[in-house]
Amino acid sequence: MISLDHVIEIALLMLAAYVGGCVLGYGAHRAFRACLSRPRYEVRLAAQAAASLRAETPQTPPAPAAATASKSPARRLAGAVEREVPASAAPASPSAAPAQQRPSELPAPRGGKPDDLKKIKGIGAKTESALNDLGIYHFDQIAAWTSANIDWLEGRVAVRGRIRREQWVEQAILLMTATAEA
Amino acid sequence: MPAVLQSVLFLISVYWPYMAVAGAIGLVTGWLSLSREAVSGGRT
Repeated sequence: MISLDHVIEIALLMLAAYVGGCVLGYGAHRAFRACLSRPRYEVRLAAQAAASLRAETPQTPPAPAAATASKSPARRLAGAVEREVPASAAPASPSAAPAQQRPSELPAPRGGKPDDLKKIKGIGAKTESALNDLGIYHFDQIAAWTSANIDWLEGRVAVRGRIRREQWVEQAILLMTATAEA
Repeated sequence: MPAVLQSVLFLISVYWPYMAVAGAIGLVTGWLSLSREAVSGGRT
């Protein structure tokens, strides 16, 4: 016969194990998330290359997306950053373009085959589905997002600040380049 | 060694598999709780 003291001790030990597991699981998930949302090494490298390119050629006007197809990834990345800079540089101007703008959409994926947007770190199956619902199927569409587009999308498909923090646009540019080169 | 500590050590040595199960359940609960936070925070 197990005494009441032992039953209480067992219950307390079980509870301690459960609570300890909860804390451990929560912490592990947070660490996992932080690891996932950290930009990959290549993305950081490309961002550095883009920054150095911008420093070298500050007067270069941003080229249209179609014309950038033949440029290097770093140059394209620099173009993407430049596209974002004017919008964030003058946010208080009342006569400027609207702060939020819906990104260009496609009625259906080109060739009936959408890109695997989940390759972008930070985009999961649900987010990909939400993007598809908005007519976004390809990396080049994401690569062409402006700051206004990102503002529009945040709150709709992602928590505010996530798209910039996880560098979806920069990742899309790299993936687009990798796809084109393959 | 105090009697309580002896008793606890004895219980752990006997019931550790059950504690491991409780810990694993806690681990899953803790992991999923952050997922729920993320969904309610607007993540889709």
